Amino acid sequence: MPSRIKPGKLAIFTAFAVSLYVLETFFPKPIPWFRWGFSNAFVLALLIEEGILSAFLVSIGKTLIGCLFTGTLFTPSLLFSFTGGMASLLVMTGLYFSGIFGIIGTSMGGAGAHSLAQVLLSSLLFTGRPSFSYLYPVFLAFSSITGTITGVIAWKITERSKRWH
Amino acid sequence: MQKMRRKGRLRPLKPPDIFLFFLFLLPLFLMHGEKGEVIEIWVDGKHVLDCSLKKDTILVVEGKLGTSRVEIREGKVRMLESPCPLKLCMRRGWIEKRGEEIICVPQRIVVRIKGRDEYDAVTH
Repeated sequence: MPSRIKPGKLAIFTAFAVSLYVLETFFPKPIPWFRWGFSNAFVLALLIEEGILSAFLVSIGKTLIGCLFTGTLFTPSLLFSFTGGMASLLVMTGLYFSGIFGIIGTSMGGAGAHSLAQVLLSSLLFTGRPSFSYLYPVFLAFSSITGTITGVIAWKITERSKRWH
Repeated sequence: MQKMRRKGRLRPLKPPDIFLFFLFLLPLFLMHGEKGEVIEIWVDGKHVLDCSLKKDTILVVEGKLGTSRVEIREGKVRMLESPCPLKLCMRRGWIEKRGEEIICVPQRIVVRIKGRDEYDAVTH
């Protein structure tokens, strides 16, 4: 695992991730607060290729710039986006480097952690204590589907990104 | 890194992934509303009585138009009889889960199964 950070690669991945972040707001949402989370594919691909530090930087960059473009900077959305991004990054690091799960499984775990973090955060903000929502099974089922799609995208990115080095 | 690829660590799909997929779908099928234990009956905005669902019984409730009868059987509740014209409350059928309600508007009667949550959703 190379520890050196490649600024050019980070810039390209951040740009792609932000583009997807903005594009996916055009997609229809089956339930409120739902996101497809495609932009996470770039964070996952970078995590696999460059390690957690680069993925962490792109995840923050993607959240800040994406929120700037969608007009949710300095709103609760930013907090939710940030918490979810960090939770999914930590879980994906654990899952992937355990060597048990493939890219798609890692991505599903990340999506599940993203929604879990947001459900816990929202209950913490609105009721003052973290609790599970009856809605969480619905979010979890959706994250297995969106996680699969994101995982396939991440896999395709890792196949193609050899050219970008 | 090339060595890692050759070792096959960069596989897109491993068998545990499929297991994880179904594990994530599982809670959706296990999720059923919790059964309630106590009902409360409101008439014209006033809390009239609480009643346990454990004992089978028939409650007689005085509403605006006359007498309604609420049946409790095997942990479920239904409006057995009502003098209201459309009988929508009777057509609601049996209820058993927390937060479920039978509402009879002409009679001003609400039969509600007590739940844990005070509200359905919060929006902002």
